[in-house]
Amino acid sequence: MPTPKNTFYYFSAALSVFLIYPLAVSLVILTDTVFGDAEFLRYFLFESKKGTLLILLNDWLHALPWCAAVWAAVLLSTSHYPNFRVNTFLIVLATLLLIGALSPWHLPLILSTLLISTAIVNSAFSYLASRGSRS
Amino acid sequence: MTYRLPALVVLIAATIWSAHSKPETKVWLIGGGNTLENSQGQIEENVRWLQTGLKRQGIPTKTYFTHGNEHGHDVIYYAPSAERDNNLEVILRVIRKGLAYAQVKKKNTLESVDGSTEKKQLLRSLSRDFDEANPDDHIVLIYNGHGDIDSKDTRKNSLKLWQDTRLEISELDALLDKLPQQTNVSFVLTQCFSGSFAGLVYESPFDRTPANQSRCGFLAESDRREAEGCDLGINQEEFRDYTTYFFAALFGQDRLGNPIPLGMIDRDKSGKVSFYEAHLYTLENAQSSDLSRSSSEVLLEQEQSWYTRWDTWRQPPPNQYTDIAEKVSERESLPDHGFQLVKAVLKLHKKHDGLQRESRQLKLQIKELQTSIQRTHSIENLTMHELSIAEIDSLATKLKGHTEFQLLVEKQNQQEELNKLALEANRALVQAEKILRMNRLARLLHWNSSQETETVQECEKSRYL
Repeated sequence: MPTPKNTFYYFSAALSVFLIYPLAVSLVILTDTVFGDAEFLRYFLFESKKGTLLILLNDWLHALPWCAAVWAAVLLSTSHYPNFRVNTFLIVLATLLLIGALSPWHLPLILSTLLISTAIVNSAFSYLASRGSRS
Repeated sequence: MTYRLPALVVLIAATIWSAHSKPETKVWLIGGGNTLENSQGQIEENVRWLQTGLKRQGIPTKTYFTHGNEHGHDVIYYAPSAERDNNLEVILRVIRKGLAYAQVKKKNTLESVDGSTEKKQLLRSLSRDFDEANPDDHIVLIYNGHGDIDSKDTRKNSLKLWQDTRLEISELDALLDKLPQQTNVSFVLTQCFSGSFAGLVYESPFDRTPANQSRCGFLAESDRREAEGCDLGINQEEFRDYTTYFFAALFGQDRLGNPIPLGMIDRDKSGKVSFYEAHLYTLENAQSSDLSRSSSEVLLEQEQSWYTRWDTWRQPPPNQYTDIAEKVSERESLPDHGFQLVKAVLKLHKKHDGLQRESRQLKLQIKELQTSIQRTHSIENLTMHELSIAEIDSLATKLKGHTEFQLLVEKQNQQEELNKLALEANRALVQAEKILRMNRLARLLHWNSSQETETVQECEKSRYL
């Protein structure tokens, strides 16, 4: 993990937080459509397209503090541990939450997909950061 | 001996006072259309049935219906062919829209009507009635009529009252505020777009502060969908609206007098049927086109959080709603969850849309035939009340002899059949949609139930007739 000191790094790190929820909710919508009652698609097609988009935007806003907390924890961890270990930890935790989702607790799926998407964003971010520091 | 008389007086006074102030269930029954043309026979039949049922249970009931006790027609209904005037029907088939040829007007024949539902009169009457309510009384407000939508903001939806007046949710809310704070208020509103009236559980439909009184309600539909219950037909066997099922559960018998076993309704085995149990019975058994909801269910949906949205990939957790979903899916031979169910919904949508398209085409053909016959006989601007009986008979004979008249009758009969088929298709579609909705409620109840929702649900569970 490079130690970037430029403004661009912090700016990119801040922007990356916005990607976590859209990625996570996309995975939820995918499972909803393939395995579930296709609630998103039905709402989008038969109820209101504008309403669906507004719900998504509103949820994005509400999810942002949680995403920021997870993302900050990941950035802090990556300054102490190798990226691979942090991502492995995220995936293991995501798997445990997935098991929790399948259990009678019925934990929301997005808790798991949020960690998966954080791992994806972290991989992409560190890859781009390392390329940036090389040039 | 000298003390006997005063003691007797005190005893009588105490008895009268306790009887007067004893908390009891009181029902206000508000019904009828907003205009004569929109005051369908089914509404009157519903109000009549409720009056009979409530009277049997000994519940004091006040009824406000259309123009009150004034003279003149206030109900329109679909008369069987034997009841219609044959010659008049021939002319109406040619000059009127839709199935107007089969409609008959009358004055309501309800056993008792306490006043009109015209907005100002109704507000005055209800204010006066509410002044007499005792604290701790259980006030039940039942509405059987039409509703109007404000599609930009459904919190401004309204009741369509007599003389085409409107009563908005906030106005009804202000009226209920006049009741003592300790009063328990229940509302059963069966009009179109009634879902937004769940806002009555708040201080105002525009904020989220819980109302001072304990309030909860049962609504036939969402804030954007039309409800059943405004049919021109008056055949009780065909009624499938919210009133029909909800009150059948509370009365313990259906509209035809067939008893309903308590075991089918009493989920908590208390030996009594609560309003919430009657609502669940309705959800399970109503093969109608309504997606009915209680106020706590509306709250559950409103407070859905970002982390539970679109999360439908597993079977929903077991609770009352999952149970209803399973029973409806079994009855309708539909899958209870997942892609196969969504596929069934899409198929039923297609069938319903096809029938509606066919109906629209048929309507156009009927219109063309009517115009052609009207032109031939120069009756484009005919006004019925200007015709004498002899003129009606002569015109009817001429029209019957027209080559296209038989075709028009055939098309109109086809239209009647098609309307029935479209309604059945819609009811079948809604059963599939209901399973999806029950699955959704089952999940939301598991995840989202807030203190506020639980309070409203407790209110629904603790209300009895």
